[in-house]
Amino acid sequence: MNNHYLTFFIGKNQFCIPAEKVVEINRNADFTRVPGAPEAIKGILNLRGQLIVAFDMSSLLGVVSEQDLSEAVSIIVQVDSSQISLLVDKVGDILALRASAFETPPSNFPVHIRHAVVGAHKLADSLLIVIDPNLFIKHLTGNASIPASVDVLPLHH
Amino acid sequence: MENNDEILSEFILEAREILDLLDADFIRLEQFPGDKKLIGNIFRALHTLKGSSGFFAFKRLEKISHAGESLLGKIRDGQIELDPEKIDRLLDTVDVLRVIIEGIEANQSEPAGEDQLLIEQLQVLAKNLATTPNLEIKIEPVIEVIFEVAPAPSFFDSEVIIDRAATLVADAPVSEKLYDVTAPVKVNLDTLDRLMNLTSEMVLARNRLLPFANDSKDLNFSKTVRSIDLLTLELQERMMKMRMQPISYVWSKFSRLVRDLSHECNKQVHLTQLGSETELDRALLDAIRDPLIHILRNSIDHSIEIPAERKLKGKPEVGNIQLMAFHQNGMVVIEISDDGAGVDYERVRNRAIDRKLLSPQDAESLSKEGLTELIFLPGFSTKEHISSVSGRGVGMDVVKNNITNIGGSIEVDSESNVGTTIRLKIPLTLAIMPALLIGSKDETYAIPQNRILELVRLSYGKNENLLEDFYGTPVYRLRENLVPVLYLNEELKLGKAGMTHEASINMVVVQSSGVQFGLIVDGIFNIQDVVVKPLGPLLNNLPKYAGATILGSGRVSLILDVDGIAAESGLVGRIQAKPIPPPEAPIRIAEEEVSMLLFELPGISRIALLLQDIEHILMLSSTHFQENGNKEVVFYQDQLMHVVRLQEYVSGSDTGRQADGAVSPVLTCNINHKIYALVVKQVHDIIQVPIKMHELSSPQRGIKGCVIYKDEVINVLDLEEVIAMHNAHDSTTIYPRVIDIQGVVE
Repeated sequence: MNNHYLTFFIGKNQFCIPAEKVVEINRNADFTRVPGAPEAIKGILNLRGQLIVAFDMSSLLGVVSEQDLSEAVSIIVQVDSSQISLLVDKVGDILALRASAFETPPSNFPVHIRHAVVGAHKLADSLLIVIDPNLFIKHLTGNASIPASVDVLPLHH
Repeated sequence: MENNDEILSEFILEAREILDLLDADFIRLEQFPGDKKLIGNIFRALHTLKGSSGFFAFKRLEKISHAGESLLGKIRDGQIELDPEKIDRLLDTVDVLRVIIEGIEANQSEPAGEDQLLIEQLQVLAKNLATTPNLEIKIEPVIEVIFEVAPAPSFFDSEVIIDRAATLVADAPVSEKLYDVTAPVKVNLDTLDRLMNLTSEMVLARNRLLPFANDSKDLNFSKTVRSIDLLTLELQERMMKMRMQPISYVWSKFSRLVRDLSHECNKQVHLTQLGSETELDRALLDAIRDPLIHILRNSIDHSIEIPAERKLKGKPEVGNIQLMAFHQNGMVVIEISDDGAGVDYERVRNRAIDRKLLSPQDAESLSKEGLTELIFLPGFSTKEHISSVSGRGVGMDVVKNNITNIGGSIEVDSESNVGTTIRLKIPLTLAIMPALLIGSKDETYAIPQNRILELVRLSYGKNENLLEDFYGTPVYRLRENLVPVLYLNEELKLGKAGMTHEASINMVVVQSSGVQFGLIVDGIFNIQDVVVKPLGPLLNNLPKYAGATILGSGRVSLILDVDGIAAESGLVGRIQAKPIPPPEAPIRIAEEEVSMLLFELPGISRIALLLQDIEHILMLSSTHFQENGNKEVVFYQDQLMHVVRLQEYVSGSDTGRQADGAVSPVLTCNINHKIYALVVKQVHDIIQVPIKMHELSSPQRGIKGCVIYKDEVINVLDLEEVIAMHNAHDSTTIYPRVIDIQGVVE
């Protein structure tokens, strides 16, 4: 059985995400910074009236980007009921990969990127790292430290 | 299986609706025990609930609703009499059903539980004087037919619901009328929000398109754009309406609440609901539910007296609470009035002195309005003991907070032994609100306008000490009150504000939980209506933002949460920790003072106008003014404003016009839905003066009277007269010099 993956690049590093989660790919996303947000969140952008949170994949994956963020490509991904944007350097091909070639990370895999990487596909000459957006979204919403609120009521609801 | 989930959630939704209506119906039944139609309604509702429970094999639901239905069937057929005990049992039944439905919603399966006792009680009540041993209930053929005809997704015949909803709204038995009502379509709130998003996006796209049409010479193109413009406008209006729901959505639960609470307090209370068809945005309805419940609790527990006491006072034994909703000035007003004991102002006064909030002298001189303000202070209560109904530490301050958070206001009007009226003013919608756009480090942020008290611009040239140093904390002296000052750049961790080389400081004075503070920003832009969008779960834990909005350019702008910023900076927490006396200013206003804007006209150095008459102050260049007939108008931010050059109408001023292109301050005001732009020479200050005005020795054109401020006599502009004079020119025989054909044709 084959699964389809969209590959993308940050610097020289290649990664991929499951293709069925990709909604669309945009160039020059004009995002607004959100001061105080987690480091990986670069800001929010407007996609046809919908607010979309943009993630800086280089900061999330701990790799160095070779270009300015303003030249980044935005991959819009469906996560549960909402959409998010992944800012990457370059988008590659869509690959059909055999499910049997998939491997989960080894047990000594560093903890700090376990929340993003689900495993890798064995290509002929390299390992293609597979990213699961659901995983790091869960990580960000679940473990996010909520500052102690001082009896302030939410504005809505 | 997804499909099944959908059907189940549909079932839960409709079951909840039925249970809500049942609550209300039982209360009505208690008042009109003989209402056969009502009993029929309840019977059918329980029956349909039983039917669909059977479909899902929810055994508990089925058994309980069957037992309740059996009892009701007997009552309907007149075999047994309805009494309070039966009503209580039936209400218990509804409660148990509700618990089960909630359990199903949480776990997709029926929660475990033992209902044998309740079922037996119901059966005993049903057997009581029962003449026919046959417990089998005949199913009404009509209902069966409706049930079969109704397509699968709807488990309950919607007519039952509509019928009963109509009964509730009209507050009168409804019979044939129900067939006039077209069945409403249920739409997911999410779907609505998405449509709403698209619509606002459409509005933005239209805004970008309009300049092209204005510049274009192609008439066809302009016409097409014009029709798109109109369609978009209508689309937007309709969308706003779609989110509206009648306030009965919240109120329908109150009959039950009032009944239970009054029983608990051993009081008799009758609740009347007027204007329950008044519509409000769904999100607002959810937001006012808790405040309203709190106010009702207060009324029943504290205001309404026990029957014996009422009799002694010569009042009817049954206390009255009236809920009334209506539209006024683009707001929805909700009044909760009771005929109970009212607020004991003496007790409030003594309490304030006890708690050292006020000195005895100050308290003595405080008016009723001033004392009312005290009720809204955190932790302020006149109660000696805490009852189970109220006094659980949530006070009127929370009610007030909740109401101001949604942009509303609250007033209390009470008379000892006559009653209390609490008036809530709520904006029609939350989704759109006016906000001030400000700049901070290259980004634009929005501050909700209802939190802004005033804008202050400080120039270094004039005086050296703009901000003072309160042992390390910057403060500003705002008309003799020290207000703490925050730098927005620092609060948002955008880096230290480079203050020293700036020529001036822009400060927004805002208010949070009764605390005033100044927020220093890099730039102040304009006020506009913004569509509020939630930030979503990923950014929800950032207390400094209330949401975001999309600007005309298509860029996202964050909306600042003033409360969040105050709390994060420690301002609110710190100040509330040590109770300080309530801010002086509001109380001084209560002592018959009023805010006026002090400004200058050519030839008149000081003239004042009531601040409440002014909507905005803008800086406009006279090149923006356009000739329209013999009048000048200005089109600013999608609004047409009529330019009124004040010096032409006020005696004592130079009538000469300013040079073209000069930028002058413009005060906008809204009179009879027309917006006027009053051109002045310079704006000076906001002053507090006694409301009582001195009459002029001889009447002067455009002047109402004068006030004394700091030993200086200041004339007060008569706005009505000026506008009347301005409009009087309309009826003169002078024809417009140029007829704007384009304007007429379009």
